[in-house]
Amino acid sequence: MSRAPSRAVTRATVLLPTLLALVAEAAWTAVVAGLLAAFAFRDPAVGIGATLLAALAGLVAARVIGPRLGDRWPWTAVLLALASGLLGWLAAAEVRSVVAARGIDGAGEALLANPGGWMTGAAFVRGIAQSRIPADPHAIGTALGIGVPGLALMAVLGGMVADPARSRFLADAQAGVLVFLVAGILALALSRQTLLGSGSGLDWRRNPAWLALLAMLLAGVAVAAVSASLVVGPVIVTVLGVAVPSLLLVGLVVGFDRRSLRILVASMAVALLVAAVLRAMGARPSPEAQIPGIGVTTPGDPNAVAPLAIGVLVIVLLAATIAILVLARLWMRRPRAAEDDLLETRWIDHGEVSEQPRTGRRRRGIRFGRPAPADAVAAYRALIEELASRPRVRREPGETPAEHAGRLRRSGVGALSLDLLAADYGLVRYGGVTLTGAEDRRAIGRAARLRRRLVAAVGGAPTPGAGAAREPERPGDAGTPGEAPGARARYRVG
Amino acid sequence: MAVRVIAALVLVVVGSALDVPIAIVLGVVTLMLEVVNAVWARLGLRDVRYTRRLAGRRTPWGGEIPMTVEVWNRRRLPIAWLRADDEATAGVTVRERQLVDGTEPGIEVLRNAWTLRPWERVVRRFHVGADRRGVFMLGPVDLTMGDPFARRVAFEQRPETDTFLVWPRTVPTTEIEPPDRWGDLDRARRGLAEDPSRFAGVRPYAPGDSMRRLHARTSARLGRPMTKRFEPSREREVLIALDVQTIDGPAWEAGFGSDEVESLYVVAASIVRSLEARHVAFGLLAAGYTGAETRFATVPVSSSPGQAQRALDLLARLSSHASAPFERLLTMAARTVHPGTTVLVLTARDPRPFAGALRRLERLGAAVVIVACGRDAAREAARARAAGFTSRRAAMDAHWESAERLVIAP
Amino acid sequence: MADIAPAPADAVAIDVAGRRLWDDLRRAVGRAVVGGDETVRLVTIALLADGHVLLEDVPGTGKTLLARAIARALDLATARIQGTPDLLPSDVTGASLFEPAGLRFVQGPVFTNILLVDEVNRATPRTQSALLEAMQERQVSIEGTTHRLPDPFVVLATQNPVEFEGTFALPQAQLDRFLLRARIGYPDDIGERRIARRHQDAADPLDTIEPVIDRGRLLAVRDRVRTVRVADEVEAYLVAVVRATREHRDVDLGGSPRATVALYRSAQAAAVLAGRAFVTPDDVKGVAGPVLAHRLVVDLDRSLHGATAEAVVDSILAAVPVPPIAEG
Repeated sequence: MSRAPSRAVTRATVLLPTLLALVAEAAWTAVVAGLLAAFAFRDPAVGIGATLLAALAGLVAARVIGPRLGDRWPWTAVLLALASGLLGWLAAAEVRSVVAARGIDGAGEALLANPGGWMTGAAFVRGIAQSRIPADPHAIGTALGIGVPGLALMAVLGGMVADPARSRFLADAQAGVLVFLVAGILALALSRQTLLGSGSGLDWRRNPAWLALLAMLLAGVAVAAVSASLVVGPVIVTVLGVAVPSLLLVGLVVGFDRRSLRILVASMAVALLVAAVLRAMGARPSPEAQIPGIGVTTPGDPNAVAPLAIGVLVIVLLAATIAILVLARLWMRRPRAAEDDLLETRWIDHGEVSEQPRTGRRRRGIRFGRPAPADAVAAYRALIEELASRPRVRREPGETPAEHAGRLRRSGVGALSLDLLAADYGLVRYGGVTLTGAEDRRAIGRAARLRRRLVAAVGGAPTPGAGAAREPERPGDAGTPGEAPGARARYRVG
Repeated sequence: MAVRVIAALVLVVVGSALDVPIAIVLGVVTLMLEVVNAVWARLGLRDVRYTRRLAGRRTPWGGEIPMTVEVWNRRRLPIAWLRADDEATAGVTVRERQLVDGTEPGIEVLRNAWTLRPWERVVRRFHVGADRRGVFMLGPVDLTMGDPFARRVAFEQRPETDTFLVWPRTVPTTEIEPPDRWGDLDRARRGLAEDPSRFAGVRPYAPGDSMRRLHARTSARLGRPMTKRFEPSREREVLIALDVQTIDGPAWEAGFGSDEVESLYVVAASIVRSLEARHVAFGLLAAGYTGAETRFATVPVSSSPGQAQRALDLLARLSSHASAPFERLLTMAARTVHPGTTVLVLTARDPRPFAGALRRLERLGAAVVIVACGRDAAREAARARAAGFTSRRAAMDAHWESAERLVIAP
Repeated sequence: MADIAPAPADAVAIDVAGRRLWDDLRRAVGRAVVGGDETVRLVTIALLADGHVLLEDVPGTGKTLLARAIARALDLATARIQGTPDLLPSDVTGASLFEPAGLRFVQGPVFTNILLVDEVNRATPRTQSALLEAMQERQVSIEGTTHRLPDPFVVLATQNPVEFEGTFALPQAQLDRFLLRARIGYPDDIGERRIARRHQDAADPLDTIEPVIDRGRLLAVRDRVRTVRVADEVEAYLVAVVRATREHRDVDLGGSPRATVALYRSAQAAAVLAGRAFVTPDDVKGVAGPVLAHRLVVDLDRSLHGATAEAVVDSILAAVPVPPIAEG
């Protein structure tokens, strides 16, 4: 690959967070434009495409014209934003026809014909705000931080509008909100990575696994949110509907104290106020929402837009992920500078098996899957593996089998039979001795007894010294502690 | 986080109550982002291994030590970002990175960040040095990690530290005094003890002579016991007594001129290198702090391999201000110095205040040579001569950072 | 288990001979030395592994007494050298004397089986190097003639680590030639009282020691040491321990391949003394400290903060996984 395309790919990956931020900005301005249109009981004339164009124009203006104008740029920006708003307003055919027919006299009517069109001016301004390359995570974070409660408020206000404007607005807004969230979160994540990486050697393009995880999580979160919006509302209303009267009843029976009474009165006042406002706006709660459990939807029901929203979301997410992955892939293929390779080496290392963190569940699974130990060595290994998950009795990495057995014996948890088992293991593995069948069977029996005993000891509260006294030992195996008694017995036998 | 969770729950409840699904969507998304963040925080940095390795523990001034920093993501999930802020003593330089300011004064930070795939292990190579001599430390390290949405999620400080020494600069040096050649050896000009390796003839046996000293062949030839004689030991032994104080006055309140002190250390280090090159047995004494509990820093006289390293290590550690009066150091030296040793006094001050201690050394059989350093070296050397001591003047051909040669002349 | 070769047929004989040799020596030395069992064991390991021992401790802990007691208990030729600054190489190796019949080579004290070198660090580097060369080569070359040293030849050198004045520290390369370094340490309360009581007697405690091991017996057991089995996993563990010393952060210079050989042979000898025909990880751990510590150069900075070679070896032994290592 030549150097020029690789530079283009690099530039594209750097531009990506900014573009996503613009999409997010365009989405929320489109939602607000839709709300304004709903208030005017008109169809929205400005969609996400128009606001995105305006935001892009703002970005281009800020980067191209801004630096050249110097101090004059703020005033120019205001004028350009107004011009952008004007264009958005004039985008509606009704506005154009009113203006053409009635001139300045029809200004009020023309304004009401497409009030949302002016939001293209806001999108232009937001384009200027996001004009930093690489993208500024702070600006994106602010947009998300204000956008989430802001859009919630817009949605609540839009919900107060009478149908069919209400349903149309909620349908459009849900898709816009999802685009806003997905593009905004993605832009924030990528811009944070880019900022962190500057001067400290991080490059998110090297980590497609993270990109895939991010896309999966985003998709999961969005699908879960849309699904929850269908299910959670009725459930909460039901819970509240059941709980509030019950609590009121209990309160009336038991009696309210002064504080509770104040809270009750304040809550009722707020409820009355909200109800009055809703009535004044002409809104009415949808009958389906008031009857929980009934999922019948009407064409005007905002719930009907869920599949549409999910579809939009999936398309946006797929497009963004594919674009990112393709760019990252192209970038990874670029010819690297020599010093890059010198500075850093990367490889996948699953590590030593013994080093890997393992969960108890997995260990148990392995044990059950294994056949029963057939000889002394297998019995000892199985026992050690069994004890590995129990800190008090496990063999530490630097501990020899004899030291381990000695420690447990001294602490009162172990028994001499563990010394003997360890000695048998040593005889076979280190000494190359072949044990007789009887010796193997004895070792397997010891291991089984030890397993029960040690597991019980660490599970309950072991009595120091009691274990050693209880464990039956063969007289012939007794030896000096720490001197591998089994080994001595073996030599005596020859 | 709690505020965001509460806000999300409020959104969900309000959205449900008013039948506005968008509010529920916004609330649930916010809530799930917090859940992912909490899950990642719970996983924490448990399965992240961070290792810093220095290829050496010492380097001369201007040199560098290769260093590797290794991170290993020992989990099945990728890590969006991992940042390691290695604290570094002020003055540490890293060729490949610009250090950033730390949270405390005098501390800088070597900042590294990675994005890690599952099980990925990354090794980065650096070269560390320092802009001055001294003891420098890297670590502890602050590890910070991001969740999949790149939000900061876990922090941990790991205490591992690495220390390295930066020796003072050394420059080629002229001889302090012309060598006394004996055979192919470089000898001192005086010596009291006999050197058993230098046979100097025989003499008649005298009562008290060791039987091992009998010269068998001559005794057999002459028919009477003859004893071997040896040359006096003239192995060169040089003890460098470094006067860390550069400004006259009580040691505990005297300040110091940074350049003046560094020049002194460069002279000392250059002399150490020069003595090592000539296989001279030498030691070093100074009244400065080294991080140990004692006030006096000592490298005993020796010609064993590694002696220069020991002396340069000490010079790297020594504080720039004195820990005790120089006279006390010389008094201590008088207790241990061997007769015949040349005591090389490196000072940037008027030597007359400690002339008494120097005379005592001379009375014990040591040869005292005062090497005057610093801006007024010529004047101090003249003062030393006037006080009756052998004196030399140490002068570098430029500022210590760029000098190419050290001349030690009368 | 297919990779395990059968045990040597004479396993029982090795057990008996090695164990008895150790018991006899311990009993004999115990008549004069109180509480030096571990040191005697290490010296015996060195004898069986054909190596030399450096006894290092503060003055008055009985280094010389112990060395002399061991020398007495072995029915072997013994010589003693006192390290002094005027000790000449020829005082160690010997010299040619002029006689009417011509030059006659007079053997120095190095021509012996057990050579006690007291305060080896007080001898000049030249003399040290002559001695250490003899230790390594087991021969001396004087005036063009090579003289073989007797077999066995074991040097028990003592040095005092606290004095620097008038001493010449053994360079690292020469320290490496000692198979192991042993420390005696102060006796406990009861031991010290026994020492005091023993010296109330008029007789020298050393006089009570009778030679209990002759040359033939020692060489027979020593020959068996080389046949002691070292299983693959124990060998891997042993090598891992030595390699870990090279990577330890407190160490400037780790164990050399010579250290690996020394640890291997010492572990074999330790197994023989324990009455076994095979080496276990316990044998390796038991000798790792004495075999490796004196070969390590601890970083100056770390040593100022309290790091010691012994602590380094201990930390390595605690960290290097001992077989059996868990299988996947």
